[in-house]
Amino acid sequence: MENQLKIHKLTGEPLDHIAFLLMVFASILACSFFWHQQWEWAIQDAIMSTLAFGLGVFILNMILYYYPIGKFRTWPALMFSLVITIALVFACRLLWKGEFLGDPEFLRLFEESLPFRVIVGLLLFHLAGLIILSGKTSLKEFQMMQQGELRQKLSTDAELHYLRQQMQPHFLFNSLNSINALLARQPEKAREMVQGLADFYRENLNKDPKKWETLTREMKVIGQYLELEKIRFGHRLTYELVVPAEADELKLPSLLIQTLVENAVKHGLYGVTGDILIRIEARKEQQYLEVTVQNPTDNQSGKASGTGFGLDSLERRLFLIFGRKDLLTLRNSAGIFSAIIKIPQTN
Amino acid sequence: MIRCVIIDDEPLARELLADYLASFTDFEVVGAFQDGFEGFKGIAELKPDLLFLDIEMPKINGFELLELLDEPPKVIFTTAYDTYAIQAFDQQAIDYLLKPFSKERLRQALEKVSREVQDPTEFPSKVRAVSEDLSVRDYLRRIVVKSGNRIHILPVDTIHFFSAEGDYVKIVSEGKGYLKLGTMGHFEKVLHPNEFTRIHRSHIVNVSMISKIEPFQKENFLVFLKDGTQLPVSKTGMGRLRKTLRI
Repeated sequence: MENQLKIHKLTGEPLDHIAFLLMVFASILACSFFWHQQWEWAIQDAIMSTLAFGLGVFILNMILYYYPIGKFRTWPALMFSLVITIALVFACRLLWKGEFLGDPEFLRLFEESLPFRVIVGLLLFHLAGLIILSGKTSLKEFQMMQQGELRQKLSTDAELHYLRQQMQPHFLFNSLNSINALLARQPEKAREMVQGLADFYRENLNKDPKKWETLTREMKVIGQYLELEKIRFGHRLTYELVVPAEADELKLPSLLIQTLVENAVKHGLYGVTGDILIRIEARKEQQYLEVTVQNPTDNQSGKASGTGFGLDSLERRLFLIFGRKDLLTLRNSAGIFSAIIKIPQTN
Repeated sequence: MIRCVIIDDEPLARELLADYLASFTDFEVVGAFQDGFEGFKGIAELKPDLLFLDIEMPKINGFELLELLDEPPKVIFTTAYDTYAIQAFDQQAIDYLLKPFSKERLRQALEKVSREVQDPTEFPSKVRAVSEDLSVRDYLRRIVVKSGNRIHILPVDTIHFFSAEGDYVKIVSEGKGYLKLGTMGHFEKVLHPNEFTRIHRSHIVNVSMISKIEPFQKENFLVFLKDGTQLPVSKTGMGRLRKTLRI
């Protein structure tokens, strides 16, 4: 972005720049001639001053380019213009002092015209500075606007995705189907499942992914979820929750572990044929809460499409919260897939 | 009597469907299975007329199971996913029941089956390969094949090459060849173009298995695979191969 900006400033609209320089040249030529009625001097003066002006604009451009935009306001800009003008006028004066160019009479006239030169130079540089600045600001603003829109869109997408995830339509419809089946033969169990489903959804919909929850509360919802899946899949699915008392009150961003567990159940159930055990173990590890979620796996079956999407978004979420990429570890050994998540405990 | 088999990985879903079907006197449930492997065996044994098939199942999904059957029975898909409708339609399924579905909805599906039974000319005999055109959303990551009564799941990165063999495609993976009903055109479409290239009218090669390419006769080339196999490369095939390998 910055680079584009630079290229734009140094190469863009060159004709305009040349025309402007020619105007400056003509004006100086005219002024100088009316001052002392000497064409030779006037041309020398105009060439020198125009070159000085060009150099000044170049320096100004450079300064403005490296100076953080937004902090650069009128007064500092005026000061810069003044400093550049005085420096350039002084430089011109030094050059003219040399024997081969200098003429005592011209030098005297030059000195007399100093205030005039400084004032005109100041106005010109200030004008140039403002033009450069306004161009930059608008470009920068435009880019920022675009970025803002993009960020907005990304966050809306994320929100939508989250909502859809939260609703988990397949889980809901399959659960309703199970309830339908239970109604005839085991109405008590159907009732239990309706209640479980309602609790799970209420708990989930009330959750704010930006908030932190205690491990106990998170585990409660995970337990509800696993119970529901157990009704659906019968004896195929068993689970183990291991949470030592010392980890009970540790806090973590909500829905992180749930995502891992849902992922584990999905890949466990669809990745292998026999019975599956989902194992969830939490422990306190120095300044971290460490949670391991395990499911059986079979490397032979080839990756099902969409695998890892849940874990990818989990990793992104962890990065957004903690700014670290080393908090999620995945391991695959002896037919067991383990996801280990570490939550830094700040206080 | 129409003999039905249910394949679904959820016991309650199987139970419910069996309960529903109990009240339709023309239909009899002869078997219920919890995954594609058992289902495959069950179908071979029982030779049912009608299959109620779930799609999301362990290891091999409903579509993949269907591909393995030489003479597939009539199929009604039952699933909670509405995203597979096009693919199911492509499989010439009789109906597509979205879980949870009512008994009334099942009745409609069964009526369709009865009509088809009375007029079998309407029913196509062969099931086409999965996911032509529209339904290809992701490139294939695995291919399910059978040899004899055994089902093999081949992750695509273990496959060396595909060769046309009449109505079948020979898939060579880790030194073994498997035959699967299908066309080269189909596989060319569903395999990832960065990983597989159609080098010849009758060959698709896994580019990561290539060890060298040598000129052969006038305008043709030969590829040598790491396992020693040599495959001819046609002129257009060479163009495609250059594109894939960026040479």
